[in-house]
Amino acid sequence: MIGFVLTEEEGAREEKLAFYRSQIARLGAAGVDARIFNFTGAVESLPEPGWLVVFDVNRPPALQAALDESGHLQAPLVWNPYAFFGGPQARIRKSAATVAAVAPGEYWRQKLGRYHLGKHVLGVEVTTDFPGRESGSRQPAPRLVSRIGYFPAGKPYLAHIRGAVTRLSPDFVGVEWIEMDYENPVAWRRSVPECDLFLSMRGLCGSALPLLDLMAAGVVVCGTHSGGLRDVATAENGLWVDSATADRFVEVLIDGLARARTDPEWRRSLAENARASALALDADTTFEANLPSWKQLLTLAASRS
Amino acid sequence: MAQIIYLSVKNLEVPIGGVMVQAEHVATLRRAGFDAKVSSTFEGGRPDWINPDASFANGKLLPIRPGDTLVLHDSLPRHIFDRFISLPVRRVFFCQNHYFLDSTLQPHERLSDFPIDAFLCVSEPIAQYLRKVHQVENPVIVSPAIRPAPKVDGPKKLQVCYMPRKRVVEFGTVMYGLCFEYPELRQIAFASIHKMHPDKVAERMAESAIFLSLSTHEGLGLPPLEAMSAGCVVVGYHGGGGLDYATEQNGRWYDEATPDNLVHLLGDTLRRLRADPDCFASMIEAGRQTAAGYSQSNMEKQLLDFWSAFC
Repeated sequence: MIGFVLTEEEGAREEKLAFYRSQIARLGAAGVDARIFNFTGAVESLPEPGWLVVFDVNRPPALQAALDESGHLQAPLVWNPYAFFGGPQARIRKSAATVAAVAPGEYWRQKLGRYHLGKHVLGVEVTTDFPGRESGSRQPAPRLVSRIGYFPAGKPYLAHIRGAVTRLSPDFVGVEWIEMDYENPVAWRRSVPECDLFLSMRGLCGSALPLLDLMAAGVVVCGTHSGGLRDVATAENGLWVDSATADRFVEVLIDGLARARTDPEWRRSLAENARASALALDADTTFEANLPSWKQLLTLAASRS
Repeated sequence: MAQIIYLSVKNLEVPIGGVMVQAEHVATLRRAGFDAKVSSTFEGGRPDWINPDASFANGKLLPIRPGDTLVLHDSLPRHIFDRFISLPVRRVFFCQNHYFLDSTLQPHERLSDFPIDAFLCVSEPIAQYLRKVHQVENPVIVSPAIRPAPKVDGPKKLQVCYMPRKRVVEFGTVMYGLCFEYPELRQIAFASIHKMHPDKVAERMAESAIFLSLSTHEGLGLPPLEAMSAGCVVVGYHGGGGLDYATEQNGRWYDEATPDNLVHLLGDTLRRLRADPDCFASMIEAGRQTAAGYSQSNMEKQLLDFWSAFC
């Protein structure tokens, strides 16, 4: 039995929720009891003893204290390997209750496997069910780019990019910029169809569900692969930027907007490829590869109990 | 005599490179006979890390008169920018970081739309940006002076000095990546210069073989230059504005979206230095020559040429 534990205040909560939900449904079909638990601060809100607990390794201290008190076997998920620093590493090494660490994907499984954690490191694809899978592959001719979405984070550099694009390309002065937040699922779902292009200033991460969600909806993303899409991003499925400075974003965005205006077939092709790339990674497609890792976790837990 | 007032930021608790540059301007101008001062509403008094020759005024008490020149900076909150734009004074805009400008301006506004009499900046990337994006005709570059590096006897330590403030996550990735992917380099020390007094920074750079540049969205980026002056091999990000000086010859520069390969660039640099401490001698020499261009005499000439013509 696997208990995915979330707290109210943790970052990327909706992303984790979407991932956990996608796994639970399929684990159930595979005969594994799995559920989500919302940790309220009380030990009673954790799963019953005997469940293996999966939670973000950068968990709030109160959750870790409760897990220590409850004696659950644990499999911390290194949700963002770029933020996996000394404290959580030491905790995994020292914790007798930790049966394994879970890494987001094969790249990080291999990398964290060299971190001498003293525990197994298992990889799972972090993904979910993307709405609209059945809506057909060939999209209608895209409308002109009139709305560009962006995340709330990274605003100073986003303002720089937006300002430079607006001043350098008078054709796009009228473009509407809309803030979109995956952590507000109702508003997100409402705004995705209105978004013609998405400018991502997403920080370093191990996965990128919001970007995959946009791509699955046929939205062209302009941004870096952020680490989470290192194996996904190609010149054929998005306006990807391999630079650590905003200047290159400005160039790529201006070129992309200009070409999208004059070459609708190119834009349609980008959108279709984006959609295909994302759907190739959705939960249906990847669960078969994830299942052995989940089962291995349970085997490791069973060997401890 | 009319005043030249360099408006500065409010929070001066810790050393800020841009404020040090403002203070150097003011000290130079005062030595040349101008009535120049730095103005801040900081309540902690004069910081000990700015040039002692720079006049430092409390912005709440300083009278501003017609004929004075206000030197605006790139991080002014909009309401303050509007207030100073409306005063009957002359205005110079001193841009040390163009990436901050859009926190003040609306996307459709250009700096050339405002009643600003002249533009100063610290690097060619900023000047290019002002010309191209804001249609500023003649931005004048005054390259800041970096402090002379102290002499250190004996060989440098095989250690990495760094300033993590702006790229904490990248630094963690590099440090842990190095530790686990290059186990033979696990004992290499990382020496932070965060919040250090400039004198201590210079000492630490002088004793370190490598400076890990974690610059991000800089107008120029002084620490890599100071490190070059101190004879460090500079490895890392140019931060945009660092393209004023970054070349293949003077550093191992990096600008990829993730720090994954920076681990290997640093690991390779350390391995080579360990095998042969002189293997980057030509790069270090190129770095020293680059840094030498950011001298006190050059800064003073550029600054005084500008202000003499302006006044």
